[in-house]
Amino acid sequence: MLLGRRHFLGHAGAIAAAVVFGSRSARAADSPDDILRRADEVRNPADSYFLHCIVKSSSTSEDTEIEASIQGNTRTLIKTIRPARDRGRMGLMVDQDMWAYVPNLRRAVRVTLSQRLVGQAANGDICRCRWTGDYTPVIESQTPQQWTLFLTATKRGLTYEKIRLVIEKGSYHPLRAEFLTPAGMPLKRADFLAYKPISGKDRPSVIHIADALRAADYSDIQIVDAIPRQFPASIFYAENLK
Amino acid sequence: MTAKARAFAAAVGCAFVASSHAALALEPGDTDFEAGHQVSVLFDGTVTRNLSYALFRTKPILARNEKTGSTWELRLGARAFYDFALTNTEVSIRDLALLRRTEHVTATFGFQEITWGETLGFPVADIVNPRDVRDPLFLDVDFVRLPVLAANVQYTGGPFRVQGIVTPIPRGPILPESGSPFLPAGPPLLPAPTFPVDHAFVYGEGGGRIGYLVGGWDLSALFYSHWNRTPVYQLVSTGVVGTPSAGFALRPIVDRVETGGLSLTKPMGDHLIVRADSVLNFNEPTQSPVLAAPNRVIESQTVAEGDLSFDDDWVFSVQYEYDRQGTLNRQWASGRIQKGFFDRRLEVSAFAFKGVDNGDAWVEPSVTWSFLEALSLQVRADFVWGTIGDAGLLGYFDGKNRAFAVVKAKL
Repeated sequence: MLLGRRHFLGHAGAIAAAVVFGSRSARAADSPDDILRRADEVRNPADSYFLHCIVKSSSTSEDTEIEASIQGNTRTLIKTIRPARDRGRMGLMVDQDMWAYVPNLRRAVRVTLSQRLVGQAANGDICRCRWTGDYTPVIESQTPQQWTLFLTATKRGLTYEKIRLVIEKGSYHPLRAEFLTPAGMPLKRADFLAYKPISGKDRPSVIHIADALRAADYSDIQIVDAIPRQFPASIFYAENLK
Repeated sequence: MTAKARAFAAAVGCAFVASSHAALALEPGDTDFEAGHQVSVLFDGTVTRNLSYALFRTKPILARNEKTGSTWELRLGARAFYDFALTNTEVSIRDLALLRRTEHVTATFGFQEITWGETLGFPVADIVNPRDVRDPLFLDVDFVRLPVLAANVQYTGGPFRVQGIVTPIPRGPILPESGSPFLPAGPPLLPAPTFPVDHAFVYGEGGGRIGYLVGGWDLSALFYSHWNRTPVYQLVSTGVVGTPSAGFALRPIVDRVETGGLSLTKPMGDHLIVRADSVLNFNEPTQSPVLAAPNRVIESQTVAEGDLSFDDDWVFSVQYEYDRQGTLNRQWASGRIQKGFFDRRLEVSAFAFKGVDNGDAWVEPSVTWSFLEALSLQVRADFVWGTIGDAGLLGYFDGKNRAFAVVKAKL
């Protein structure tokens, strides 16, 4: 109850602040780039952080539990904790290059971007947690409550070439995203759910990613924890996966 | 208790004490316990492997600098097995090393495995660690690669990597036992020479590698001075001629080899990866088909591979190897098809390997079923053809067809 009340008061404070300051600052300063950057700050607690999450997929009754060491938007090291048979398996993504550490081989093997590292989630869903820098945003539409940004990839090799992203005004909470083909056809839909305090700020604790045509095919990425942490650059090299 | 066993017990004891002191820094995915059973039966009924094993590995972080992220880490691992077919027990250290990571340097000191090379299967560039070749067709590298006591320092900066390795006390391969179906002939095998510890740097191995990643091309060049990794045997007379002690035996040949080479990988689009390794081995001893004294030649080995993977868990691989030993040329081609079902809990694959200019052939169908989160079963078969005396490698294994099964539990 106390937690709930504090949560409510936190929201009430945010709403009051938004009423007093939000409308003016939103009009004056919120360029598409700013909105996208602020939305990224909601998803990512720091430039360099440690992420612990559980991926539940509709295709399997087994959960995949992973830890990710994330540095900027170009370096991600994923370690599998569960299922037990995959423990020790690691995935490294640096820019557009990817390696998988295979415990049985005791070495990292270069893999293509299409090879899945974790369950049914696309590698980019786990490895690339920032849109800023990867996409050019434009405001496609807006209501008093939310912006709809249309993002176009600025580089090749990203998981999605176009994204339609809905962001709540005032809080900059990403609410949902449509991942599109180059021709603009929907591939997947993501909902950013269950906002709760993580690392000192309200962040989505569940990302529900569903196939655009078959909603029953989905993956839920449950964020268990996200902790700002420094990593030496040397861990993001395939030879150093051990 | 032998001196070796005492040393091992002391090492394991130290390792457990060290890991318990560092337990607070042990992250959930960093400790592994695996137990399993492997059975290999030749089609003539000979059981070549029937062993139960247990493997423990952990990698506690001893200290972390929160500001820079630099760490001191331990690597601890040991495996024990009992082979019911050969009635022998073995306990071996798999990892016993101290690791230091800083922004640009990763240094590892102690027993470790260091893997080089990019292609899968034919490990032409994977030369730092010797191998257990008691079963030459058993290629599970986690089982057959032998850790070495080495200092291994790597500098990484941007697209560059530079690595230096010194193994002051080298280790030889573990050869098949006398009478093994995987030895070339019937005579007993003499023990391989050992490397005296008091001449560590005289007999030591060492070398390095540099790498560069540019435009998706991952290129590396390597050099390593080592003892020959491919077993070679010579038939020698033993005892005193004309007395009952006179006889013949196989003597393992040990020679220093200098290896230089190149490796590369490059993704081509979202689905295809090409890999290649090419090495030159100077002073490589070669196996005589009549077990005479070996020649020493310059050997070049090149392996090129393409791996095509699809979203629906289909993987297709093709590989070509060209090998030149002195004036002897030989070539092989191989392919593998793999398909995962039920979110890769069931994997079916078929591997076929064929000599282009020799009689080698090897077919290996395989099924792996992960029937519980921690339990898996693999069943495979090997069908092997070869001709002694031609340019191929499999002449001594001709007809050694077998079934192989392994059940594995990972906790």
